[in-house]
Amino acid sequence: MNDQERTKMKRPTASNPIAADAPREPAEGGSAVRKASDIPGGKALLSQGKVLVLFLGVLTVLFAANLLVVMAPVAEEAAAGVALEEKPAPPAPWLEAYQRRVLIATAAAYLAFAVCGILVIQQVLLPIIRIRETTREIAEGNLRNLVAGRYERSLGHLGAMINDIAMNLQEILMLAWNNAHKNAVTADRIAEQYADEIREAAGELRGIAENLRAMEVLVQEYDFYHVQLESGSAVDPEADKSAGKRSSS
Amino acid sequence: MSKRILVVDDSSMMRKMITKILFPPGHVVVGEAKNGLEAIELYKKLRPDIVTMDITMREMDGITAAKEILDFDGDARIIFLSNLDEAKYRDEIKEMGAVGFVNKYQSREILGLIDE
Repeated sequence: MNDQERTKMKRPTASNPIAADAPREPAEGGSAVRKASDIPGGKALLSQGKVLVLFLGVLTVLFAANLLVVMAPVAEEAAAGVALEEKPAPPAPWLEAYQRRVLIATAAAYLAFAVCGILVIQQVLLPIIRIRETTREIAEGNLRNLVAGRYERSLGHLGAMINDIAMNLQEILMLAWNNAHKNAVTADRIAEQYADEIREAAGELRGIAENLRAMEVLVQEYDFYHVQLESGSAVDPEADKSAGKRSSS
Repeated sequence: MSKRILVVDDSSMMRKMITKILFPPGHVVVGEAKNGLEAIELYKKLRPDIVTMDITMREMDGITAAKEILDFDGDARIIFLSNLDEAKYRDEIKEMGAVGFVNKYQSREILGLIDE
């Protein structure tokens, strides 16, 4: 893939990081791997629903089983009472009261457990899932999306630090890219200009330029936040849009 | 000539680097902000002599923040420090009355601009 193709491929991504991604993918084929990571939090949302439904489902089944166990003797006795009417044996009143209390206590315990569970899922599990998905994206080279959410709690701190790492990474890469590009251009120009005088040195200079270009290409593999790299210039594809917004406001 | 400087950049590493460049000539970094909103708030509180302003930032970008700071204080001295190409911003920056633009890969040039 040459540079031109790469820039072409990147253009729709960078111009509209979130919305343009989903419809873009199917047409391109081949890059299906990118899909999940291009929709920020898409996977996390899916897991979020699944986790909650699973948790509440398991809880309901457990509660139903518990209910059956607690109610079973009453049902049996009632059945027995209907079948053998001549046998008086009224159920001891304390038993019913006891069962009722057990029932209420069980229901209360389940309710408390459900509330705790939902809290744990919302406060711990889901943030971890969000952080995991974003970290994966960063690891895969997409620096456009960061961990969303509030940063004041402990897990939020983790998210904020991961965001910081991503921003630093973008900074280093931009620096490397800028340096590589400008130095490659300089090396080529010198080699061209003095080709006759310094034949050997010119060859070495071209080698340096080549190495620097390799660095450029590597950095171009990343997706940046509000930065698009093409043919030696780093531009913000959103700039025109936001400039319009600014001047109108 | 020591200046009080507010450093605005979303990357903690870049803020550290800028601070390091500014320190030897005797400038004092009085505050650091990681987006435009923080920058405006800190500018009003600290009233620095100079602001170094990144452009690409979340929450609020540097151009918007610079305009708001200049609306608040027409004498504010703002130097843009960005990885982006200057060409695209040259006119906008001149128009709004900022001091200048330095590419991050030549961050040291900022010292020249500060002395001017």
